[in-house]
Amino acid sequence: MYYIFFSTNDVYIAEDILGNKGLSYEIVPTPVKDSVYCGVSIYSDEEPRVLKKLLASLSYELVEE
Amino acid sequence: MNKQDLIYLDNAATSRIKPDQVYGAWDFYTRQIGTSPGRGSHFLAIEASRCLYKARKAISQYFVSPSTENIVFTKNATEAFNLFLNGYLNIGDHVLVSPFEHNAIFRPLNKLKDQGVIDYSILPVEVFQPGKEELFCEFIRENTKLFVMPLASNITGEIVFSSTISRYLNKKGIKILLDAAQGAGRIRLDMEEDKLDYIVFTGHKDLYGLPGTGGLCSRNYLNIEPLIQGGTGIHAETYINPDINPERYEAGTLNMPGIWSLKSGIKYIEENVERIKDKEEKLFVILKKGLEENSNIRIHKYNISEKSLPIISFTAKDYSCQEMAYKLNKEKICVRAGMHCNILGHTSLGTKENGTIRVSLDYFNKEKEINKFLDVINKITKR
Repeated sequence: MYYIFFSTNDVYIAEDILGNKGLSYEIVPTPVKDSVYCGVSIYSDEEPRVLKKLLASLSYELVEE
Repeated sequence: MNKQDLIYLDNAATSRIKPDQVYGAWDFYTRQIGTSPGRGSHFLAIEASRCLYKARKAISQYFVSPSTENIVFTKNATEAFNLFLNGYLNIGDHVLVSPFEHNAIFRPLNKLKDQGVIDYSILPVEVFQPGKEELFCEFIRENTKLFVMPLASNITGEIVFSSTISRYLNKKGIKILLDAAQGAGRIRLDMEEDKLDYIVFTGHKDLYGLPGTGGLCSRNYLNIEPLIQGGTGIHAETYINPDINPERYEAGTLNMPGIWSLKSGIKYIEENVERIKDKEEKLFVILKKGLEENSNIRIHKYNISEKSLPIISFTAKDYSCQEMAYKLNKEKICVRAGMHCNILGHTSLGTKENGTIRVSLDYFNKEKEINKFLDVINKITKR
């Protein structure tokens, strides 16, 4: 699942949050179809419900593979 | 010139010697990263963005600002003031201005006044004496939107900021803009606790960063007009900067080597705060006592606070400031004479005609340098 943020700063806030929780993720290029967002996104196979809760304060779109 | 002989006492202009970690951070970023944040999705661009976020977080934590999205990097404090004042103030707004303001803030305000956008009132020095907050009422208008004050005077070093004042005006609905260019590395601030709505900082003075870094911190979500338009690394499809913080205020390539170095400077301060304080206080006592004992020297102060940064301004009998600075320079002693980019502050101090000689110390100064400076001053003034 791609977590596509509007702000680059939010990508790294998200990285901070996920890293502190020991969750697996990767910062990857944003899928081309959503290039209106920032250039990098977070990709994670972790349970979306868990991430949604953790990232609730941030603005992002969820895109499936 | 043999740099061993050089005595640098102009740290209020720019701290000349930085902690080794700062030079190391610059070298690391330049050699190992060397790319710009938000530009590209390759691993170096990702690392650059990560560095920017970490630096933003360090600033946010240092000033106890609630969110990294409201920390905006600029190339210096002047640019941050221009960004804020031009973006925040609207036609008809009134601003309360302290009588200590640097030209970095006073000139943009004055330009807005000349253009008929705003009006401002310059407050008297007495208002800043302890327990005189009630005097502010005389100057507050219905349309007073903002109060600007420095953390410390860049001329006399006296601490101007008082949380009593910021809390008092906050209760009256007036926003506070603090110029922390002088003293941010020595006086800890808490935007939440002190009710500071906006802080402007510069990197190259007592935060131990390199020239070319500064910024604006906002306590709440920052929603003002950007100063410049351009590439932000996001939403390239829009014809103007996107309304997304903090990127919308940072169009163009950031000075990342400088920003990464600034993070190291702040870390150094946090780790050595007591050591820095003790040494600077000790050096300042020697300097102050030495100058006070010279009857041909007059120290200039506003007398608003006992607390001071290690900065002192003086004039010498029978010498203009420029003559004295010239003579000191011949002895390889660097001080700053004149108006210190602060016409308002010198007017309030009564030194507008001739200026003062400013001596500003730093943790990296040595006691023998202060003693040598005092010996030279005493020799010049034939004490």
